[in-house]
Amino acid sequence: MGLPVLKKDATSPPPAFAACAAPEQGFQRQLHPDPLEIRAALVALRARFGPLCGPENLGRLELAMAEVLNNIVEHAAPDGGWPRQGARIRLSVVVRGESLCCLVCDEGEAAPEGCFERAALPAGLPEGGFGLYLLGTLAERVRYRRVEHRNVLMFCLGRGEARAA
Amino acid sequence: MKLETRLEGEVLHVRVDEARLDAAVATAFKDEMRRVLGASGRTVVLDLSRVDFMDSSGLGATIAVLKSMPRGRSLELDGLRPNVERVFRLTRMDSVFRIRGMAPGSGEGA
Repeated sequence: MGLPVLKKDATSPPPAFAACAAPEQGFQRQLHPDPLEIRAALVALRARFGPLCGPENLGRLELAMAEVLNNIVEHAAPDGGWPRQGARIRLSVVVRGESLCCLVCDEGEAAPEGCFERAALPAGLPEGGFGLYLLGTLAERVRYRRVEHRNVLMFCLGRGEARAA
Repeated sequence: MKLETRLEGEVLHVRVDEARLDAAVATAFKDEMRRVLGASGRTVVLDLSRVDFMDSSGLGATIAVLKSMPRGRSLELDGLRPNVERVFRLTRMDSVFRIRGMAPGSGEGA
């Protein structure tokens, strides 16, 4: 599944984000790159999808999204700041049949080439570096694109208990 | 970050009295653990039965605590709920930590 071609408009949200915007059947949130805002977003995410997912997949969704958002805070917005003042992380999760499709956009620094595809389990006893490995383990079809000054990350997770692992 | 401690003979029980062990509290958790580990107790049992969500920041903090254990003292984990057990299992840290058991009623999810 590829991302839609995006127009060169720096002021409006990426059309990819708008395309997934279906408030009546999904979840959307804008937040600053701050751990407490991330926590609040995850709690709201869990509340929204609790009735729609089994507990195993709900836990996997929350963990995958937590790792994505923490990664943005740690790498795209170092020192809590963006290249552009006042920018926010935008996230959207929609139900597509038995899948949950997630889209996360931010205006931080670009991710290094291939970092999502090549995320491996760190060796030894590291105190960090597990985030993207966990994302790759939990999610299917992880796709990253740099579009203008934005990072756009899409990934899917199972919704029904049949996909639990 | 609230930790409840109870010393029983040579075993120091430390219960994390928080619902979430995440990036927002990982540093505070490490600092508090270092403080309570000043108490005696050859074996430290970290009771995570109240923790319903842990991310890789919480895992990293727990690994930091394990690495900081003084020689002759051991760290064990107890009361893992499904969302916490998953993080240890997927990162294979379940083979590094000694895990006493899951939380009562695990398998129900949360």
